Amino acid sequence: MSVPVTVIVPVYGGLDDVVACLGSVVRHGADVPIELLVIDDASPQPEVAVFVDQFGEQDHPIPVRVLHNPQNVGFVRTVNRGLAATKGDVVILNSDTQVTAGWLDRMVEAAAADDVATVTPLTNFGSICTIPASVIDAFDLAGDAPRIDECAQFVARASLGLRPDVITGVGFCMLMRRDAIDVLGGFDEETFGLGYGEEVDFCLRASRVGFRHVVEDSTFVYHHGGGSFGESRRLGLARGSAILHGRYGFFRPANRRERTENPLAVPFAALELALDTRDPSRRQVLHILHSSPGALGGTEKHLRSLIEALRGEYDASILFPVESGFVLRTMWFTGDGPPVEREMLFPGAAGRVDKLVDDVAAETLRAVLDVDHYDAVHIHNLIHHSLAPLHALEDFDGQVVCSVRDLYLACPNHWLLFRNQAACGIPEDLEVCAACLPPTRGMAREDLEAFRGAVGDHIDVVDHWVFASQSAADYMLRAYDLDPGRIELIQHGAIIDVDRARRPLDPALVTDEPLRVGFVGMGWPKKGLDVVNRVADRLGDTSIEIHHFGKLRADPSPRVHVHGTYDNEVLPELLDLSGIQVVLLPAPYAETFGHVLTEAFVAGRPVIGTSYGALAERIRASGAGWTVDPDDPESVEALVRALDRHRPEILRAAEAAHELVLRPVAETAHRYAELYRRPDDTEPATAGATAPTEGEPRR
Amino acid sequence: MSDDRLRRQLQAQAVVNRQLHAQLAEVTAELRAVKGNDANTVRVLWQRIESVLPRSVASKVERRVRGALGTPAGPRRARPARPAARERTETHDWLDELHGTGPLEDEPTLVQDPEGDLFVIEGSLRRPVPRMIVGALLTAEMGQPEPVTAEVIGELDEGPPVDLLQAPSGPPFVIVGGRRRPVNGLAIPHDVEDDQAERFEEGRPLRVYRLQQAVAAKRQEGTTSSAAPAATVVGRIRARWPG
Amino acid sequence: MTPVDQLAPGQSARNHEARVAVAGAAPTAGPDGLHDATSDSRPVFPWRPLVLVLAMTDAPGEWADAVALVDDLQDLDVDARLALPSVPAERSRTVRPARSSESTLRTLRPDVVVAWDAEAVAAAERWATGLRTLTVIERAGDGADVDTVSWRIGRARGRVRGQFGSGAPARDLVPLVHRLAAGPHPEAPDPNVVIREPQRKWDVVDPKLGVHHRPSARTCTYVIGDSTPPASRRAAEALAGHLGRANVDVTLGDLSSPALAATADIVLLQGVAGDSAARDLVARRAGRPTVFVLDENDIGADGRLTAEAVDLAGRCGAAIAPTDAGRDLLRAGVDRPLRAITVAPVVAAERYRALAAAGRDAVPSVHEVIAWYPATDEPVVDDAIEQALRAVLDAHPAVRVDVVGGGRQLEGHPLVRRLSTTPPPARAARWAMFVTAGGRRPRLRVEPATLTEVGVLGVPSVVPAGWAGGPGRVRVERPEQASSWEAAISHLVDELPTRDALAFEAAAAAECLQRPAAADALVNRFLGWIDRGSR
Repeated sequence: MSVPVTVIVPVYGGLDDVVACLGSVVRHGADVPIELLVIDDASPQPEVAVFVDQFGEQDHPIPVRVLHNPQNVGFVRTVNRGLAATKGDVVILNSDTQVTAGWLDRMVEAAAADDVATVTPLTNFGSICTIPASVIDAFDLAGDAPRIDECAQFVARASLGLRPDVITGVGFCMLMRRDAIDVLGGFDEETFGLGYGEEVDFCLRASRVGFRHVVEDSTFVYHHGGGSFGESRRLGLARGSAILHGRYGFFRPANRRERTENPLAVPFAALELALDTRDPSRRQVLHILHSSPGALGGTEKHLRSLIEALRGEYDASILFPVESGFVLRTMWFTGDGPPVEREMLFPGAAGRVDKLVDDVAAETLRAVLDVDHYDAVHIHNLIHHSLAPLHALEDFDGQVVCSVRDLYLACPNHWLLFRNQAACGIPEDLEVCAACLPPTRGMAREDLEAFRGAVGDHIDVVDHWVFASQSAADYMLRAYDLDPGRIELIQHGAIIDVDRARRPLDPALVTDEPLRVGFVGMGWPKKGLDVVNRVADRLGDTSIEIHHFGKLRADPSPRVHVHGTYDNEVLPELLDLSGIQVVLLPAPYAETFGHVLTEAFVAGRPVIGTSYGALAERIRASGAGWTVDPDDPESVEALVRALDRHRPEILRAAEAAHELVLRPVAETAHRYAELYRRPDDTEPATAGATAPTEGEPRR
Repeated sequence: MSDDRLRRQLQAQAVVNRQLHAQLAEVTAELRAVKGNDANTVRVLWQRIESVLPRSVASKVERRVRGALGTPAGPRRARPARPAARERTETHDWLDELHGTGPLEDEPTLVQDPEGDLFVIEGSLRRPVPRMIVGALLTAEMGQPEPVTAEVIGELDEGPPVDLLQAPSGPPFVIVGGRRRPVNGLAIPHDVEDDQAERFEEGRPLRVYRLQQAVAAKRQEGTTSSAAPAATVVGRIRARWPG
Repeated sequence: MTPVDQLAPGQSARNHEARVAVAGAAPTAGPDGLHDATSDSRPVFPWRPLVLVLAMTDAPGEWADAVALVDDLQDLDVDARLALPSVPAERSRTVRPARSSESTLRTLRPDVVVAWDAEAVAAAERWATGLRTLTVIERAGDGADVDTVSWRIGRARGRVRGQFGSGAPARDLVPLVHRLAAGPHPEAPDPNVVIREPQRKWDVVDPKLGVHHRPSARTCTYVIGDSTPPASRRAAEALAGHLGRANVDVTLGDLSSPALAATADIVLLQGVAGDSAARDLVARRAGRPTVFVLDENDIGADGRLTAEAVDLAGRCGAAIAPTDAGRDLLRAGVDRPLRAITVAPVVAAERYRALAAAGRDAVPSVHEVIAWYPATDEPVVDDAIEQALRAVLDAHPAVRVDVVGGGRQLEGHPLVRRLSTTPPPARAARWAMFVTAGGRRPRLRVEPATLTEVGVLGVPSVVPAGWAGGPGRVRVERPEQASSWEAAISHLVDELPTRDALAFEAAAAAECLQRPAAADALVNRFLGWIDRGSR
C-alpha cells in the first residue's frame, strides 16, 4: 500500500481560478494514488473560504482534505504546513493553474529517476518552462478562452520526452520528492517568508548536495499567472535575488551557462516544428543549391521564381552550404499566404571540400532524404557539395533532375577556357588539359580522368538533364554519353520583371546620336574585357563610344566609359539614361544561356555576341544582333564601324529584339513540374499550355 | 525511442543548431563592419556573442574575430540585427528615437513656451520636460530657459520627453544631447535594460545638491537673471533650417 | 532581261520590285571562271551562320544540286557560299561561286563546311588549321536523312560532325548547321603557344568614377522662368550641378541677363514659353545650341502642349523632357523639325552622398515607423490613407507614424509624430516604409523627389496603382479605398522578410540610377546629343 502523492494547493484569493484549479485536479485524477490537500490561508474573500469548505465536503473521485490557517501566514509558511501534514511525495500547485490529462503520472514517472528532487512541467507562464510564443498563440493560451486540453494533447504527442535537467524547478507546479524534503527540510520561511525565491532556494540547496531537477517536457499545465506588477513585487524579487546570489556562489555562473546551453531549446524546437507540419499528401521537391537561396545571382532568383510558380502542386526544401554545414530550408505552402519556412543545420564543411566525393556531404544528403519525404530532387549546382549527391541519390526512388548551368561536370575548370584565356572546346588530347589544369585549378591530368570517371559512373542516377540551350547540351555530350531521351531543353525565363521593363529602342536614339556600345558584365578577360579594350583603343578617330557596366576586375582602356556595377532589374532604364544603342558581349567563354542577353532584349537592344555557345545560338535564331569571334578583335572593330555607318541595320536588329517572345520564369515552370512527376503519377488538372519559344515573333 | 521520434529529434536539434549558427554569423558580421576603435559598439556586440556561445567556444571565437576587426564592410552591408524581441515599452521608443546619432555636436538648449512648458531643443527636435524636478535640474545645469513663441516651437519636430530612466545597474539618468547624464539622489525612474542604456556614452552627472545650491542662490538673489533675447534661439533655429 | 555579274564603272542602277534597271553603258558580264573568294564575300553584318558548300572532285553533273542547295539555304536565313573546282552551267540566284582552294576557305572563315565529296572533307581538315570553330558536314549516300556524327571525346571524327544524304532537303540541314555553328570547338588551343601573359589581378576600380573623360570646357546658361514650380527648379539645379562636373560652367538665371545667354555655348530655356524675350534670344543665337526644357506649365489641362510651348520648342529645334511621355508629347505636338530626348531627373551629387551614407549607417528601429507624405491635391485618397493608418496603429502596438510636411492629419494621435521640415536623412533612413499619393507633378507625371530619395535610403514605398512601378515599390489597387491601403501597409508591417527584400531592391535600383556615375552618364549622353545636333 503505497503512500499517495499529495497535491497541495494553497488558496488565498481569485475564486474563479481556484474553482477551475481544484476542479481540474479532481477531474483528471491519476493512476498512481493521489490526494488533494487544499489549505486556505485566511483568504480575505469570504466566498473563497466558503467554497473551499463546500468543496471539501463534497464527494470526489480522489480523497480531498481541507485545512484553514487561522490567520494569513503567507504562501511559504502555508506550503510548509502542507509538507508537515503529508508523508509522501508532494506537488506544490498554485491556485491559478489547471492541470491536464495524465499530468501526475508522467511527473511521477520522471521523478522515479536517480537523484531527482523536483519535477516541473511545461506551461504558458513559468520562467524557463514557458513554451514558445507560437504554441501559446496557436492555442490562445493568453486569451480569454484558452484551449488547455488541446494544448496538453499536442504537447504530449509532439514532445520528444527528453526530460532535461535544469538548475531549479519553477514553483507554479513543482513535484518534490519526499526523500529530498526529508534531507533538506521544507522552504526557508524565515528568510523568504514573503515569497519571491523560496523554491529556488530549496532547489539550490538540493543541488548543492547532489540532487537534480528535471522538466517533464511532455506534460503541460496551464498557469493563469499575470497578477500585479507593483513596486513591492519588484523590490521583493530584487531582495530575493540578492539573498540567493549571496548564499549560492555557483548560481550566477550556472545561470549564465543555462542561458547559453539552454536545455529546453531542443524540446521547444520540437514543439514548434510540430505546429506547422507539412501536408503529407502534397508533393515535395528537394533543391540542391551552391549558395543561399536569398542571394542575388541569376540561379537563386530563378529558383525562387520557380518555387513560387509551382506552389500549387509542390512544396520545396532547399539544401545549401554555409561555413559550418549545410542548411535545409523548408518552403511549405499552405493556402495563399507566405510559406512555412524552417531552417535546419546539418553537418558539413563545404568550404574545405577537397575530395571528389565528400563523405560528410553524402551522409548529410542521406539524412535529409530520410528525415522527410521527397518526390524529386533537383540539383542546380554541385559546387561545395562535391560529387556526393550523385552517390547519395543512387538509392533514391524519386525523379532526379539536374540543371546544367555551367559545365563543371565536364571539367572542374568550368569556364572551359584554356589557361583562362581561350575557349578550349573540351579537347580530345588530354595533353592540352595537362597544360591547363595545374595553373588554373592546381589539378593534374590524372585528377581530371578520375573526376570524369567518377561522374561517368553515376551519370545514370540523373533521370533528366536540363539544359537552357542546345549548345550547352552539345558541350556536355563531348564528355559524356548522355541518353538523348533524358536530355531536356528548357530555356530560362527572364528573371527581371519583363512587363515593367520591356521597351523598344527609340529610333531617334539610333539615328540621331553618336553610337554608344555597352559592354555589360564582369569586367575581366573571361567576359571579353581584352577584346573591348582593343576595340575601344582603335576607335579613337570616331565619335563611337564604348561603355562598360559591371564590376571591374582588370584595367579598362582609358577610352572606355566606366559606369560600375549595375542592378539588372533596372538595366533597361540605365541603358536609356546612358544612351546605349547596342550591347556587346564578346566573352571567349561559351555561355550556357546568357541572362544578360535576355536583359538586353528586354531593353530592346540588339547584341553583338560571341559566335559560339548560347549567345550565338540565340542571336542566330532571332536575328536580334550579330556574332563575332573574340579571337579576332579586328572583326569586332570592323563590325562596330560598319554599324556606325549603317544605322538602319541597328534598327533592323532592334526590331527583331523587340519582337521576341520573352517569358518570365513562371511560364517555364510547368516543364519542370512534368519532370518532377514520376512516370506513373497523374498530372494535375491544370497542366500549363505550351507557350511559344523565344525566336518566334510575338504577333 | 522510435524512428519517428529520432527523426523529430534530429530535426529539432538541427533547428537549434541553425539558430545558434545564424546568431553567431550575424554578430561576427557586425563586428567586422565596426570601424576602427569604436570600443563601445565592440563591447556591446561582444556581450551578445557571449550570450549566444558557451564560454569554451566563445574564447576561440574571440581570437578569430578580434583579428578580423578593422577590415572594411562588404559591398552592401548586411542589415544589422534587430535588438532581440523583448517587451516593447514606451521607454524603448524614446531611447530608440534618440539613439543612432551619437552625442550631438551642438549643445542642447532649454526653452520655455508661452504656456510655461519646458522643452529641450536638440537639433531639430523639441523634447518636453514633463517632470518638474528634472526641469529644475536642467535649469540649474543649462541656465534659465529662453522664452520662445508657439510658432517657433511648432516649426520643430516632436521628440521624446526628457525623463528619468534607470537600468538594472547604475544610478538613474536622463538622456540629453545624446549623452547619458546620471542623476544622483532621486527616486521613481523608468526601467530600461543595461544594453539599452549602454548605447549612450556617459556624460557629466547632474547632482541634486547643485539644484539645492541653485535654489538657495536664487533665494538670495531675489529675481531671476535676465532671459536671453528670444532672437538668439529663434535665430539659431532659423539659421539652421532656413525656410 | 540580261543576267549581270557586275556593273561597269560609270553605270548606275535603280532598284525595282523584282528587277534592277541599269543605265549608262552596256552592262558587262563579270570576269570569267572561278576565282578565290575575297573578303568582300564575308557578310558585313554577320548574324546568320556562314556555310561554305565545298566540292573538290570535279563532277559537273552535280553542280545544279550544289547551286540549288546554296540558293535554298540562302532563302532559309543561312549565309551560304559555293566553292567548286569548275564553273557550273547553272547560275545561282544568290551567290557567285568561288574556286575551291585553301585561300577561299581561309578568307571566308565559314562556321560550317558542307563537304560535297570525300576529297572536300580531307581538304577542309587540311586547310582549316587555326580556324578552331570550323566543323564539317559530309554528304554521304543518296538518302534523305540528316544526322549528327558524334563528337564524343575518343570517338570523334575530327571536324566531321554531321552527315546528309543527297536527297535531303536544305530545310533539314538548317537546324544541324545552327547547332554545329554554336557547338564546342573541334580544334583545341595549342598549348605551346603563349597567348598572353597571365592577367594580373587589379583592385576593383571605384565605381563612382563615372566617365573618366574630361570633355572640353563649355559655358551654359540655364534660364528658368518665374512660374516654374519649386520642384522643377530643384531638379534644374541638380542638373546644373551634374553639368558642372562635366566641365560645363552653368549659370542659372532669367531672361533679364540676355548678354550672357547670347554668347553661352549652350542655352537651356525652361518655363519661359510665351515670353517674347525668349523668342528674341533664340533668334539672336542663330543656330547655336538652344534647348527647350519641358516644364509643368507647358502642358495644358487637356494634356497637350500649349501653343506658346509649341512655338518656342519649334524655334529652338531641340528639346528635352523629364519623362518619355513628355518627350513623346514634344515629338508629336510640334510641327517643325524637332529633336527631343528624355533627360530624367537625377538627385544632386552631394545630396545623394548624404542619403546613401544615412542609408548605410542607419541603426534599425525597435518598432516600425511608417512615414506618410500627404497629398495636397488628392483629398479622397488621403482620407483613405489616414483611415488605413489609424486602423494599422490600433492593430499593431509597435507601429508609429511620421507625418512629413503635412497639415492636420492624424492630429493628436499619441503614436504620431509630425515632421514639419524635411527630416534629416538619419531619421528617414529608419523608416519601415514611405506611403504617399502626393507631390507628383501631375501633368509631367514626374514623381516627387522625396520618393526617389527614400529609394536611395533603402526604404520601400507604397503608392497608388496609377503610378509607375519599380523595384522596392508596392502599388495599391483602388487607392480611394482605405481597406486597400490597410491591407498593403499591414502586410509590410507584418512580413519583415518581404520588407527587407523590397528595401534592398529599392536601394539597389536607386543606387544604379541615381548615383553620381549615373548622372555623369546622363550628362555625357546629353552633351553628345547636343554636339550631334550642331553638326
